[in-house]
Amino acid sequence: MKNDALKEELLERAIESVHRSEAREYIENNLARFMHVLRHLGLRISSAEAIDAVNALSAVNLLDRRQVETAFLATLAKSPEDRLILDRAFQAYFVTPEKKAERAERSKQAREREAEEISAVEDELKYELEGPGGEEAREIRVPLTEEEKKIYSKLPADRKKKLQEYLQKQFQSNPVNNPEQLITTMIKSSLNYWKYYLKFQGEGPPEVDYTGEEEIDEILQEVVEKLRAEELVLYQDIQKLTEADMPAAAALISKLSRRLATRISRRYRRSKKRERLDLRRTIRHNIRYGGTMFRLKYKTKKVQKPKILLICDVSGSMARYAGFVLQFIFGLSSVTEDIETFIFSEDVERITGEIDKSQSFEKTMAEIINRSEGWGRGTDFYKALAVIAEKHKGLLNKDTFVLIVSDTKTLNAEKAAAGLKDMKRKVKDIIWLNTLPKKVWADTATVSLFRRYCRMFECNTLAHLDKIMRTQMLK
Amino acid sequence: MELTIEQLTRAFEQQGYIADQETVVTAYLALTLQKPLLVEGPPGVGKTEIAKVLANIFDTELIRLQCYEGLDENKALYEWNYQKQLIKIQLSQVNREGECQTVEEGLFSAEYLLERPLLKAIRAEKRPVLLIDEIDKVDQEFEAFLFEILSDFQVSIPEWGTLKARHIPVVVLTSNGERELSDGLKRRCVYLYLDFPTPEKELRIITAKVPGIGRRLSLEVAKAVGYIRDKLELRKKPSIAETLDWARALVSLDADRLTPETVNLTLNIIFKNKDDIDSFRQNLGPQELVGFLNGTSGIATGGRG
Repeated sequence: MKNDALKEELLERAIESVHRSEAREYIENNLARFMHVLRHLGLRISSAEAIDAVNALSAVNLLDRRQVETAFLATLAKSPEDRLILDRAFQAYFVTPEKKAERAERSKQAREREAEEISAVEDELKYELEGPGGEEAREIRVPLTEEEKKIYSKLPADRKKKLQEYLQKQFQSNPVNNPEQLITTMIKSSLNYWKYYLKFQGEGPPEVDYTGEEEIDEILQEVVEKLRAEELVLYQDIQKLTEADMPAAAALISKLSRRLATRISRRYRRSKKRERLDLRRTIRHNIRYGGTMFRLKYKTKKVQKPKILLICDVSGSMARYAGFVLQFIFGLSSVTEDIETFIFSEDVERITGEIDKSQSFEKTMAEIINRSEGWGRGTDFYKALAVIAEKHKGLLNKDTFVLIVSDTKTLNAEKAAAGLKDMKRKVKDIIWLNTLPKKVWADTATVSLFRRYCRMFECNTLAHLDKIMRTQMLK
Repeated sequence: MELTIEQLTRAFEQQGYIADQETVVTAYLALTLQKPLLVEGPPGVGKTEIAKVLANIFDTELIRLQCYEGLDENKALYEWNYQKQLIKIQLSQVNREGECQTVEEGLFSAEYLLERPLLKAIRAEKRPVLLIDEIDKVDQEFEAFLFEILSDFQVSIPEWGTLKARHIPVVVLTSNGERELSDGLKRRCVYLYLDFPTPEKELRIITAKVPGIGRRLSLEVAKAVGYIRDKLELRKKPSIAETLDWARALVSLDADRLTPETVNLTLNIIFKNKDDIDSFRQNLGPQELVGFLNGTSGIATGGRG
């Protein structure tokens, strides 16, 4: 017996000497890594659930792939959306060693390609500069950071060419003081713009948080690519939905809003336990029992439907999104009366009465767009707030939810923020649906300005919209 | 109580519940890990049925707590029978025989306790199946209260002290996903998502549940319902129960296959509101549906059969 234990320990040590403990192919390590992958794909897995998963695995037949996946699905993925992600991750993570090697090879090639492109950048972004006083021309490379090189390598070909041409042409016959510096700044700021633009364009949901660990990132990459290729309407950026997606999207929206509407329109009495005894009614009802308090009556409170004040940005950058939000609200207004709707761009306009339930959404929308002058113009949020505060004071009270749909890009941002602060004091809550991707919030000054006075949520897919409505508006 | 996955599969079959492997394995995990089973999915896919089947398999009592908005602890756990207590007090005043002390003690005995489903499950003699139906309907406070009970299986009644469950019940929670459930509750459960069945599975269900149905008709019904769910954006997609009703109706009409006429006659059984019927007529129509079944889909005849 003792001998056996000793042997085992020796073996244990031998294994340890070859691999670090976290890199060994133990089932626990493997599972922990899998959960790591899932967490980086946005699943929220607690330690308790991780333990459940391990226990579940010990209860099923480990040789049956289907059963193993079911064990994970049952313990780790707790919504239909999570199930989809887990399934794809499972397919990508638990693969044969050959496939794994294949994937590693693929991503290695991709990395090498990228490295080549980056090193090519230096050659592409060079120019010749004549020294002062007719000295011989020297070749100069624009000093760029690694990140800037990366951005450059990702640019579309025609953009690259433009930058190169700019370098060739501009400064050769136009001597200025310290041209090197000037050129560098120009190139850098141009790249900076592209950085923002590329980030904004994004690759679309699902959100993924890369780890920096090669092996895991490869898996994340594969899962995300697969999900994106499936192009689920619910997760697509609304702006990117094509005409072909429209009927499906419209059906989805009306389903979402109908579900919400049934919840809003239902009035219920609160549980008795928390209510106060209604003495007056109790006595009156109990006279028939000779004054014995036989049936107790409680004060009940009707739950108020939330009043919604929607302020929707319909300026150029927002028009597409606004259409969707208005459609959602249109669905809601078929059951609730209390939705006040304003649209604004340079001017603000009240369109509450114009949402006519007997008409189809398309027709209503077309009429509003035709008549409204603001559709697709610039943005002045400050003016919108000022007009609402002045002319529609009655709408702002403690029962009102204010719903703002905008990308925060507006004139008079400072003043608008002050107006928002003022409004916040008067209403129940302000919820801001921001159509900018969350990634670029940090780079956008107006976001942090407005964020102080409201609760801001990223909202550029139907999934976002659904989630906000369910979790924030109707708790 | 201990069953293997194979035994459980067979038991489900014996109960006439056609389940795929995922359903069985998930139910098995909930039983082995002794965790509540949370079943989500659209209405009418057999969520509640799972609890009933489990109760039958273990030959035990099914205790059902139907949730609704405004459900509170009084209705879910226990309540003192206030009226009965009052009568007792009044009677004892008339008689004036008993000592005050004994009257008071008697007032909080089991005789005056109205047991509600949760307490019933905790005090049950044999391990029961506790079905908490449509959990998404209750408010958040109650949900928090519920998962406290589900993790400890004990309650305290101030007059009695703490009661601990004799057996950990088999708990099945169902939800239509009307509201997002809290993370805390989800964390404590084993999760199963039941979707509408595939045509193959639905065919098996029809054959098992509708006696006397012909092979061809059952196949066509299963395919047709699957196609309708897939193609049309409906207010309410036909559930399994409606498929079965439809099949039964067709059998009683002596149909041996679907024709535009029989479809037309029985539309009201699969669609339960006018919008859906209109949508079917406009976007699909009996003619095209039957055309699809016969493999000649694509002959759009305007949909008015």
